[in-house]
Amino acid sequence: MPITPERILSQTLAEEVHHVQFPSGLRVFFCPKPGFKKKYACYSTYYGSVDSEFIEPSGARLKVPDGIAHFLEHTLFETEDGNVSDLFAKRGAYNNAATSFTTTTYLFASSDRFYDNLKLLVDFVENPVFRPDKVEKEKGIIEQEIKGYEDNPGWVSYMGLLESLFERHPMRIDIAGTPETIRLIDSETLHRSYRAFYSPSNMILFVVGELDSRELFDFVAGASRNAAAPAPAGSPGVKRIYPEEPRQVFRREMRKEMEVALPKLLLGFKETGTPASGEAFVLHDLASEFALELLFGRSSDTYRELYESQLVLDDFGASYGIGAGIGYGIVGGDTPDPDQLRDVLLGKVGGLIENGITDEDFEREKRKFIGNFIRGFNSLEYIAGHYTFFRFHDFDLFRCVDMLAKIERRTLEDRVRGLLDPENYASYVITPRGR
Amino acid sequence: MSTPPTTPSRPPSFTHFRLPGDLHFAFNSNKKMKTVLVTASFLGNLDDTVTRVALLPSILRRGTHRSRDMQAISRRLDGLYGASLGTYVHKIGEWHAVRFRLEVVNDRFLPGGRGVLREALEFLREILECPLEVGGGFHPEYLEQEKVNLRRSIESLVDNKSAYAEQRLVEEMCREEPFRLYEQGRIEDIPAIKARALRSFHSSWVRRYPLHVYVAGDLELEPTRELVASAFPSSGREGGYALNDPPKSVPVGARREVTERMDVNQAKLVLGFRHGITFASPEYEALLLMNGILGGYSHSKLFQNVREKESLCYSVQSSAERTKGLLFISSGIAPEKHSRALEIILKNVEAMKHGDITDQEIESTVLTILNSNEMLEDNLGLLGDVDFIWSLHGRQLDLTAFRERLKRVTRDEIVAAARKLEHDTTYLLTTK
Repeated sequence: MPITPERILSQTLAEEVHHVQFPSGLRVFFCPKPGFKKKYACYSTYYGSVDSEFIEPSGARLKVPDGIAHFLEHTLFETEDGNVSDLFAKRGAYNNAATSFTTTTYLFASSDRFYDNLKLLVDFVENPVFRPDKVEKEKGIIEQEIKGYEDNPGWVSYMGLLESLFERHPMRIDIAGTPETIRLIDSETLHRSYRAFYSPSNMILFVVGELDSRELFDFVAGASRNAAAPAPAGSPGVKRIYPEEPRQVFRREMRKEMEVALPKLLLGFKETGTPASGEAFVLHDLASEFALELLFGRSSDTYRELYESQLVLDDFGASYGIGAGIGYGIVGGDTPDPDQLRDVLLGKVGGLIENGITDEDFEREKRKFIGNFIRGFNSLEYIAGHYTFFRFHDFDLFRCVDMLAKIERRTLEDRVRGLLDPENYASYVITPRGR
Repeated sequence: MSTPPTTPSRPPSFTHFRLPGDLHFAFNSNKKMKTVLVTASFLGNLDDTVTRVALLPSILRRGTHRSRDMQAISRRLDGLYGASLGTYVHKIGEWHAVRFRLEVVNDRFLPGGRGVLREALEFLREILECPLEVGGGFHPEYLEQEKVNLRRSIESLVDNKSAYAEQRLVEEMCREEPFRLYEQGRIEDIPAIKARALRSFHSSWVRRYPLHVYVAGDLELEPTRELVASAFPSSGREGGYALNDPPKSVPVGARREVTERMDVNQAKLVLGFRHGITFASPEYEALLLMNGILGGYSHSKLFQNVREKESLCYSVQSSAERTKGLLFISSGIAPEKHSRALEIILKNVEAMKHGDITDQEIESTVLTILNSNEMLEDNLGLLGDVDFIWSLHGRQLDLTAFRERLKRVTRDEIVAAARKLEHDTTYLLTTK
């Protein structure tokens, strides 16, 4: 049966994407990029570090050790034919993988022998080997990965702040787990987590580059076990369990001494009950980013005042995160006086909520936001990564530009009021050791 | 659109033009990018001016005669559809480069947004040449602030333990060479910097130091050359700065070991070697392969033997410095295992020198380098950076010729490159 992909076009971006959903539920996307040498593929599962408690399709409820999604990512690299990086290197490709709070992605980039490499990608992700000796060996490596992060003040303060914001939600736990939790991981638990979350309907394969669309989809249909798998016969699939998260922040303030030159402050605000998918999710995500950039970005009055009073340096900034029903806004950076910076920022937040956003600021930032969005499309990795992420949340990336163009000032003002609450914040401070 | 005819074409390259006043213009026209990328690089010698030069981009970003503070500058860029302007200070061997990278969305993607590139280029020139002045000097208050920021930025190197360890190794290993200097400068130079003196240093810097302007995007040559010539007019440039030749290689002295202690969870071990092979050497491609087989990639000896076989670390890699001819091996390890790690690392270096290299290792490394070299064709910003470095060493970047040379490198040449490795200094950052 010939495969006819659905075509999704964006006039504004002059881009298109071809899409096929196989009966198994596996979704495959292809973005043609004529003239590009690089071909890039990423195979992702909608499964990350927060998915540590779930009900298996068989009905059994399981709580697994923290850090297992990331451990699984490492485990999949070990195949019967050796380490995957070696195998990609033999085919001249660059490969990598990454685990986030809510997704795990395996990727490669190559200019040559694309289908050899794609076959390898699909094979190692779909046919894992869980050898106890390899699992044990990996523990030493992951432990050093964690130890490296423990000396990284940026990561320590980021994770420390999430731990303070959230009382029960697994977003408060480091993606890699801790040396103690990873020691508890064994091949059986890895295998059960794999079976629960690496099912075809929970996965997306995204390919971008100069390729023949028909050839690509035919190849995937023949090469991928997940593509050929039968439709799930009324199976309920995995059910994720996230604990109920209270509205109030868990801990107001944390401090830690580290070997750093200058103190650091991160100030965080939390949200619960955030949209799970669709336009509501994406609008919530983008509008939050947009609002934070407007309030704290390079062109804001707040940044100018803080920079000119030397309370912040040029690493100061704000970001937003969302997933698994919660959201958080974070603002801060290096500062000589974290307590004063916190107080000034909280005062600013109060004022911003009261005064709203001027039309001039709004229009200027909107231009910038759209420009940045278009700029992202220079990068094949950006297209693949963002397209997949939004598809996991049932939204098409191409619709973002139009959505951004139509976004209204009031939406952002509502977002500011919904996210930033000067009464409900947490702060994380790193101070130089011995000072 | 999905099935374009593929015709074998020559890889993209930059066309170079030498304009008066030591202005070098390089251009690449391509249909891949939705943006236009302009990189303006001023190049000088790495010497006692290091701190002053490092301070220039930050003070220039504080205000121009028209946009009198950083917010005004930032807002003007926003208005150009989020034009981005990045400033970077790099060390290229014993040269010191200050780079301004401007990226604007190509006019053709902007509804009614015509002329964004012209406006952005004029703005860049204004930032470079017409800073906000008070009494013939830089704005004194802004300068004092940027001096504090620079001091903080130099001190904060310690926050990134890997980068800190690598800089400390370089300081110890090259303590008699300009290369020891950190690109952000020296804290002790900062207090003496004054608003008027720095402004007069800036005038000379902006007019005399060699300037390299790279432009890439879906553009036509002639109008672009005119734009660049009017943004950086020869009437404003004198040239005449005496740029040093690339440094001569320095012989290895007595081997040194330096240990520093801090309250850390993971030790950083950095080894420094000298080999003397540079961009200009006939052994250049052999060096790339040698470094790749030893520790450049995850299929390399170091990754396989230190990480995969012994589980000693998460990260271990080697990198070849190709202007002075140095090589560094860095790893993050459990503090109690540093001797074991050092032993295995050195054993792998010895294996390279003894020619203990499999055909598979060579083949994988050739393929990996070729592959990343081909993908370079899609990233015109990066391609411009590579072209820039080659041209500084008097070589024209020709990707096809490079690939041919790479494929022709023999095992003996790789071993010969490895045999040039002389272990100079070992630096360890570890627990108290």
